[in-house]
Amino acid sequence: MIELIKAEMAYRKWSYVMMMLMPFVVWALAMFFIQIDESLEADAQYAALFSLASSLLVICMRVPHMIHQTSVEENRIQLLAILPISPRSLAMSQTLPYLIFVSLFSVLGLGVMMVMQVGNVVFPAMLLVNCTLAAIVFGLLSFFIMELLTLLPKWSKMVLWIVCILFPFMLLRMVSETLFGISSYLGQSLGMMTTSIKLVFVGLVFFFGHIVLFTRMRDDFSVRRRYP
Amino acid sequence: MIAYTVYVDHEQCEQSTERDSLRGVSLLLQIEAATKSFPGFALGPLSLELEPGMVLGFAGPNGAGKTTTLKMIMGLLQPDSGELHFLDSSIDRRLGAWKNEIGYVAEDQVFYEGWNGSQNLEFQARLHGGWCMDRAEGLAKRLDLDLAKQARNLSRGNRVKLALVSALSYQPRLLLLDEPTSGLDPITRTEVLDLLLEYTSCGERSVLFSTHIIPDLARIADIVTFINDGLIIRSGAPADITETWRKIRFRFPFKEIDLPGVVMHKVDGDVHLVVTSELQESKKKLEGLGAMIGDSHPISLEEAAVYILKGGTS
Repeated sequence: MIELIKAEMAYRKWSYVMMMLMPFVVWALAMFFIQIDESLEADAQYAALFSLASSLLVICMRVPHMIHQTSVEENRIQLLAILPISPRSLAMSQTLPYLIFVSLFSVLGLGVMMVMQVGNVVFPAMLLVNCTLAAIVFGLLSFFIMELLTLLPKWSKMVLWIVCILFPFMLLRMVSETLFGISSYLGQSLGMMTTSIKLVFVGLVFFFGHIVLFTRMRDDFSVRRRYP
Repeated sequence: MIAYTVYVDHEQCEQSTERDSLRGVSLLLQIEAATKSFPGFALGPLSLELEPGMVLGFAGPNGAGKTTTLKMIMGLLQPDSGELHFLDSSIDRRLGAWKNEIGYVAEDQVFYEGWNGSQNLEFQARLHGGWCMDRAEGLAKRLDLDLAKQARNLSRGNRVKLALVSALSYQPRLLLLDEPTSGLDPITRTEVLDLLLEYTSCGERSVLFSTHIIPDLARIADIVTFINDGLIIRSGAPADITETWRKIRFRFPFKEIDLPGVVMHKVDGDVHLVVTSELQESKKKLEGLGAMIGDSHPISLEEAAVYILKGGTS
């Protein structure tokens, strides 16, 4: 399975490079717009852009993977499904590269944040931390649900489907609260968060977090359903 | 117990094929009353047996259930009911090792599109036991396949070739081929058919392949199975079909006549033309009825296939 994971990571390497570059692109854009619109107060500028960029980044992290989920991707899974590996290993080979990537991404973000705690450099570091934390939580969540599904009999899948729809909503609330807390702490330390902007931020993270979670779950369910 | 090692050296490749022989295994594959339903289509109950060394051709119109059957064997679809046995054992779909004994060439060949042929083969070599890279390269050369080309730049024919090279390089016991010769030029098609014959020549490996190209079946299949609307409608050796089926012309004053095994009946005045799968019985009955029997001709497997798949009506 390690060979398969290596192949998967090699196959998606450009998607990963794109994801790695995206926060810096977003950061550069943010800086550009701040310079243009000088009428806004500094904290409002930062906070608004922070919310926007966080959401954008979550989308950007997800888009390359979603692009793969075309008929081409479906066919590619067929290639993997005829290899002498178990269905469980196949599903893990799809999820683990994603988790490995976001973990590396998170470490990188934390590293950047720790090393460069001055001025605007904190801004992209915050984006990295927020989004990677979200990605890790969502990735792990879907992974464990998948593993749970493997252990349970077929009849229970419908019940699990319902649980899978309700449970993440509850958990995501906790996740977004946590993320909000971290952001709020970092934001307060920079003195740049207003209450309304905080609400927008929570809403956006909550909303796009669901997109991340459900597309990830859809992919894994797709593999499980097609190749039982 | 089968032990696998990936070999890349030519001399070792010979050893890599020395898996346990099939002593005591009477059937390579056995399907017992398998069914699979989709909205608007139901396959089966379908029963099929494949002995070691046999080439079984699967013929039928589009949507007859050929691909579904192959996917079910390969584990890409789970049957709603019925049993599938491979090498005398029930297939445990939670495991993956059994797939190393089956090679599968799908209708739409799939690869890592950004990789070239060699990279795709190397990737598979790391996952398949018994893989022989020398053999893979030899096959590619024989099929005139450029392994340096990216998969996304390969033509339909070359994709089939690459899939075949992949499937043959680890020498599985059973090869499942879904329309393997469609899209190939006549020279390559002949080469592929020769390869399949060589592949089964040791008597321990079998091929199950679906095709629309009936002459291919006539050339290499030991048994041809016709499938329509999800059900097997006839199965037999190609020679049995071509030797016993006849097109008979005779004169008989009445339009209606009941003959055994008739799959086609045309009347023009008092001249009747029938195609029957039971020559002797038909002739005996015609003589008994006083009909004037004219010429009778054997028919090709392709003609027979058309009559069989049309449902044997006039």
